Amino acid sequence: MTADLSKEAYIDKLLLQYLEKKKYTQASHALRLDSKALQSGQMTLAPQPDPKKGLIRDLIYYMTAEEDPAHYAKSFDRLATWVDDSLDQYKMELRRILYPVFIHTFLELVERGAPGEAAQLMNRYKRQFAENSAFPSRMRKQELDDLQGISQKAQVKTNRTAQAARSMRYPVKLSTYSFDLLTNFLQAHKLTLPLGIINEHVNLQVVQGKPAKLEHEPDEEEVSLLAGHMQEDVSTTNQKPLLLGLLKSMVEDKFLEMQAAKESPDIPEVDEDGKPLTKKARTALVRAAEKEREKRLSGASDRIEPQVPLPPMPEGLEAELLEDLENRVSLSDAALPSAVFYTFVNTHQSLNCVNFSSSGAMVAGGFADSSVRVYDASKGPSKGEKSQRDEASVLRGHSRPVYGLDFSPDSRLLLSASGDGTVRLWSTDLFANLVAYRGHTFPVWDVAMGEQGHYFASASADRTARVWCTERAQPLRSLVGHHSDVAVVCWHPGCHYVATGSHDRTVRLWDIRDGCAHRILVGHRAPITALEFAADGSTLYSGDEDGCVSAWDLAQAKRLHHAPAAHSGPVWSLATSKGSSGLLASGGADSTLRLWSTTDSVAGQDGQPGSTSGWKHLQSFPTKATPVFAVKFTCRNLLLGSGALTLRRK
Amino acid sequence: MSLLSKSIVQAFAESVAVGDVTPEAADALAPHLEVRLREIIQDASKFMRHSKRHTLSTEDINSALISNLKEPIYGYGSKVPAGFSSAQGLRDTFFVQDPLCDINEVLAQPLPKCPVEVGTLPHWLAIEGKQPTTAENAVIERRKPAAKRTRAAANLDNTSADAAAAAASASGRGNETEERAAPVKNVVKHVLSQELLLYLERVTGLLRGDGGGGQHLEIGLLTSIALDPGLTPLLPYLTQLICQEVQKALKSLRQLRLLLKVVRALLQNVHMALESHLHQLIPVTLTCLVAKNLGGSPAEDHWSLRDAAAALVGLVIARFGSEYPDVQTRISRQLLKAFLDPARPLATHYGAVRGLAAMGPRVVRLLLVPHTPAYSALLDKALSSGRPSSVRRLEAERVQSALLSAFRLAWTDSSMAQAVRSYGEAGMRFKLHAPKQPLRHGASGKCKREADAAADPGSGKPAATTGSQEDGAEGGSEGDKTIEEASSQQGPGESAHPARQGEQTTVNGSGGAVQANEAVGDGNAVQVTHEILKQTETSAAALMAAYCTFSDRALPFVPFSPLFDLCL
Repeated sequence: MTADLSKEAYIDKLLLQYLEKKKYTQASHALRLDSKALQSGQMTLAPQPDPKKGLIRDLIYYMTAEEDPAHYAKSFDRLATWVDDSLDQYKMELRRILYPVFIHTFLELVERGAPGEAAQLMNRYKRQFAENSAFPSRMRKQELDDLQGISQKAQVKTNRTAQAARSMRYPVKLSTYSFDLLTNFLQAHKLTLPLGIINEHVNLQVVQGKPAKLEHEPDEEEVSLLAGHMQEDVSTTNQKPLLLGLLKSMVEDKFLEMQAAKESPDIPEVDEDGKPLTKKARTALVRAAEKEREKRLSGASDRIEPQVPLPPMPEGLEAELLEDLENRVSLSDAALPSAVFYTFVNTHQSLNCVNFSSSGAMVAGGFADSSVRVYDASKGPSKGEKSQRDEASVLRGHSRPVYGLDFSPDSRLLLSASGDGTVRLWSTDLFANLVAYRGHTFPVWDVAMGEQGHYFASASADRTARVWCTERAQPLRSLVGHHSDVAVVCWHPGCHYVATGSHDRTVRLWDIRDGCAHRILVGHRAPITALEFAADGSTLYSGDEDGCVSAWDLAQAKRLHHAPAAHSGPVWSLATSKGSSGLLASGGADSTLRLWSTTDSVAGQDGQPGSTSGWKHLQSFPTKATPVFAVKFTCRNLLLGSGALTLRRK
Repeated sequence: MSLLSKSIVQAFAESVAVGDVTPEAADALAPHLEVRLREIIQDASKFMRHSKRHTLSTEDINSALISNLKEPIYGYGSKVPAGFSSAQGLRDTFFVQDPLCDINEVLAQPLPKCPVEVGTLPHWLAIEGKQPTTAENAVIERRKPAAKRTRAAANLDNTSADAAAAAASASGRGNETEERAAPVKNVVKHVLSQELLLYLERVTGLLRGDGGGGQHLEIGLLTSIALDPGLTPLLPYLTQLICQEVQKALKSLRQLRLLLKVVRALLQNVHMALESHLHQLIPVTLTCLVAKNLGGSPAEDHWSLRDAAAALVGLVIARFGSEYPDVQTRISRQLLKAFLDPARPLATHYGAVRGLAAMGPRVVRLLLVPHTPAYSALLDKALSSGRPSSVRRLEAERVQSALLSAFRLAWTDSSMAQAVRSYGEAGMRFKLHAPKQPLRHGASGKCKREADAAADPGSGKPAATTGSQEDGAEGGSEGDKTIEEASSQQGPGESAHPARQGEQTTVNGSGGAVQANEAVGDGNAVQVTHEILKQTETSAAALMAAYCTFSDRALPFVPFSPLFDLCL
C-alpha cells in the first residue's frame, strides 16, 4: 500500500516539475491541489520502478533535457561528498552505488555533447575509483581507461565497455538502513539526476540486516561491466546438463584392471599358524579380496562412451603408456614431485611460449621471430659435442610471432599458433610442416590438442575459438560468444568439452557436439591467462593476470576456491598431477613455480603464509630470474617447467 | 578536451602532406585521433602480454597496426630506444634523431659478432620437493632471526612435550620435575645426500694423497669448493678432515700445500657460512705458518708454504675481521708470542713476521716495529755465526728480508693509501666501465679479449666452464693453474661489493706490495697502485671475457651481482 502511494507521489512530483518547467501554471496548480503527498514535499525512491513504463522515462528525460551539463557533475559531486562524509559503518556500502552512478553520469555528459565536463569529471574521480580505494582494482582501472577515450556521442555506441554499461543494470546490494539513508539524502537535496540514473541503470537489492563489513576483504560485489552485462545468458547457460565423465577404455582403467588381476591369486593357502585354511575361511578371503578390487574399480564405473568419432589409438602408444603408469610416482602433500626446469638462454626476450611433449623428452619454444625450436632432451649431447645448440630443430613457416604450441599425445605431431592467423601442424619425425590451417582472421593466441589426439582447438583475437580435426583444413566448429579476445584454450580429459578463457574475464565451457557454451564462469577480475582441468574432469582451474587462481565446480557452475594472490604477477601456466593425488602446480611471471594441495582435507586451514581459503600452499621453487612460462606433469608425475632467463636491464 | 592539441594535429597533417587543416577541423579531428591512438596502444599491450613481457616494444605497436590492417611503421626495429628531441622554436614538434651515415664508413667497419644461439639448460629445480642448492637455482635467502627464534621456540615446545611424555611413561623415576625443567634437546641426525657422500669420499681420498688424482682433479676440486653453493652441508666434515690431515701431513709439503689451497677455496666461497668453523681453520693455518719443522728436511722450500699461509691469514682478517674484531687480536697475539720467543727456531719467526705483515701496515707499526731493536741483536748473532751457507744463516737472511719488506710496507703505507685513494678509486671505476667498450665494438672487444686471454689465460674460461660439462675438455687443457688463478675467478663475486673489493685489494695488495717493493727496490707507490689496478682489471676482464664468449649461458654459473648491471 505504502509502496503504491509513494510511487504515485513520485510520478506526481515528476509531472509537477515537468508542468512547471513548461510553464503550464494552471495545470500545475491544479495538480498541486490535487495531490496531497506533494504538500509535504516528499519524494520517495521506489526500489524497483519499471523503467519500461513510458511515462516515468519520458518525464525524467524532459526534466533533464534542458539541464545544464554542469548540473550533472555538480550533483554527482554532492553525492560523492555525502558518501565520503557518511558514517564509517555505512560508508563502504554506500560507496558501491557511486561507481555505476559515476559511469552513467559520464556517459550522459558525453551524450549531451559536453565532453569537456565529462573529461573533467573523469579526471577528478578516476584515481579514486581505480587506486585510492582500500583495494586497488585493476579491473575498474581498465574499464575507466576504456571509457576515458570517449568524447563523442557516436563513440558511445562503438565502445565496448560503454555499450556493456548501457545495456546492463548494475547490481548493488544495500542494507535497509543504508538504503533509507540514501533515499532521504537524495530527496532532501532534490538530486533528481543521480536518482534517475539509479532508477534506470542500477539493480538495487535491499537486504535485511546489518550493513556488510567490507573493510577487510575486497568488495565481492564488484561486478565486471563486460561480464556483468551477460548476466542473463549466464544463468540460463549454466543450467544445461553436462557429461563430465571420463571415457571408457582409458589406458589408466586398463592398467588398474591388470593390477587387480595380478593381485587376486595371492590368497594364502595357510593361515598365520601354518594350518591349512578351511574352505569357509578361504571363500571369505576371496570375497574380501573381490570386494576390495571392486572398490578400487568403482571410480571407473561412471565411464561414458565417446559420442564423437575418435581415431584408434596409435600403435605402441598403449604399451608406452602402460609402462609409464607402472613407473608413475604417487604424489601427495607429503610426497612432493621432482621438478626439472628448462631455462632458455640468449633469447633476448623473444621467447613467447613453451610446451612439452607428454613424456617431457621434447621441449618446444615459440619465438617472436616466427620460428619454433624443438629441443630433444632424450638425444642429449654426445661427449665430443661442445654445446647443445646442434640439437635444436628450427621450424620455420609462420610469418608472425608464434604464441601457442602443443604436442599430440604420441608426441609425433606439433601444433603452433601464430600472429599471422594460421595454425600449423608439424611432424616431429620429419621436422617439416604438414598442414597450415587457415580460418582465423586475427592472431591466434593459443592452441590445444585433445587428450585423444585428432581434434584440436584454437583461440584467437577474433573473439572465437575453433575446433578442428587434423585431417581437414576447415574448422569443424566455431565457438562464438566471448566478448573479447579468447586467450587460452584447454581440453577436457573426456573428449566432449573445451574450456576457453578470455580477456573479457570469463571462462566458458563449450560442448563440441553442438558448439554451444554450456557453462559461463564469471568471477575473475583480470584477463584469464591459464586453464587446466583436474584429472577427474569435474573441476576446472583458472589463473588470471593479477595472479589469482580459482577452482570451479563445473557441474554446479560455482567457484570452489579462490586464491587471490597465488602469484605476484600473471599466472602463465597451471598443471595438475596425474592420478588421484590432486596437486596443482602453477608457474608465474614472478619467477616462481608453486605447488598447491587442492584436496578438501585441508579446507579451512588458514593463517599460514600465502595460504588461501581451503588451499594449502605446499612449496614454492624460486628460479634464477626466470619467469615460468609453462609447467606440466608428465605421465610419470615428473614436474616440468620452463622459461626464459630475463636479466634486469637499465 | 582531448589530450592532443590542435597544433599537434596540424603538425601530423603536414607530415603526411595534407596542408591547410583549419583550426576547427583540427579541433574536430583531435578526439578521433586520440581514440585511434588509444585503440592501437590497447591492442599493442595485448600483444605484449601474449609475448609474456612487461615492457611495450615497437614490435608490439607494429603487430597492433598489422592486425588492424594498417601499414606498420618501419625503421624502429632496433632494440636501442629512439630518443625524441624537440624541434627548436616549435613547442609541439618532436622528432627522432636520425643522423646521416656514410655508407663507406659503415661498410668499412668490421662485422659485428654473431649473436649467441638460443639454447636450453635443463637442471633440477626440485628433487622430491626439495630444492637442491646448485648454481642454476636461485640462492635461498637465509632465514630471518625472528623466524629462527619462533622455530627454536617450537622446537622447545616439542622437546618439552616429548620429555613430558617420556616422563609420564616412566613414572617410576623420581626427578620428574627436574626432567621437565631442563628439556633435553633431541639429537638431530645430519643426513647427507648420496651425491654429497660420494663427493666427500673423493675429497677425502684426494686430500689423504692416496688417490693420486693428478692436477686436473685438484683444480676441479678447488674450483668446485670455491664456487659451489651447495656444499654447506659438507662443511663440518671438510674442516674436520683438514684438521686431521694437517696433523698427519706435516712432513709432506705437497700435501700441506693442497690443504692450504682447500682452506683458501673455502674462504673464497661466498655461499659458505664459515663463521662457526673458524676456530678449526685458523689453528690449521697458523700451524702451517709458524710450525717448527715443515717438510722432510730444512732444505726444502717450506718458505713458500709459510707465505701462502700468511696470505690466508690476511684473507681471514679481510673477510671476518670487521664482523668479529677479536679474530685479529687473537691471531696477532699468538704470532707475536711466537716472534718474541727466542727459543723458537728462526723459521717460526719468519712465519710470524709474514703473518703480521699480512695483517696490514698498522699492525706492523704497532707490534713489529717496537720489538725490532731487541730482536735485531738475536738476528745479528745468527747472521754472523757459522759458515755463510749454513742453514741457520740462510734462515736468518730470510727472516731479515721478511722484516725489511714488512717495514717498507709500513713506511710506504701512508703514501700508498693516498695513491690508492686518488688513482685507485677513479681507476677502478674507469676499469670497471671500460669493458663496456668490447660489447659495442665487436672487433676491439675481441682484441682485448685475446689480449686478456694471453695475459691470463686461465682467468676467464674456467669461470664459465666449471659448470657446463660440455666444455670440460677445454677447462681440462687449462688445467695446470695454481690457486692464484682460482682466486681471480672469484673476482666477479667479490666485485659484487665494490667497497669490499677495495678493501680486499688493499689487503691482497699488501701481499702484492711486498713483492712489488722487493722487485723495485724502494717504495714506489705508483707501481703498487698499478699492480692493484691490474688485479682489479683482470677480474672484471675475466667476467667480460666469459660474457662475450658465452653470453647468457655464462650467467647461471656466476653469482648475480650489480656488476652485471654494469656490464650490460
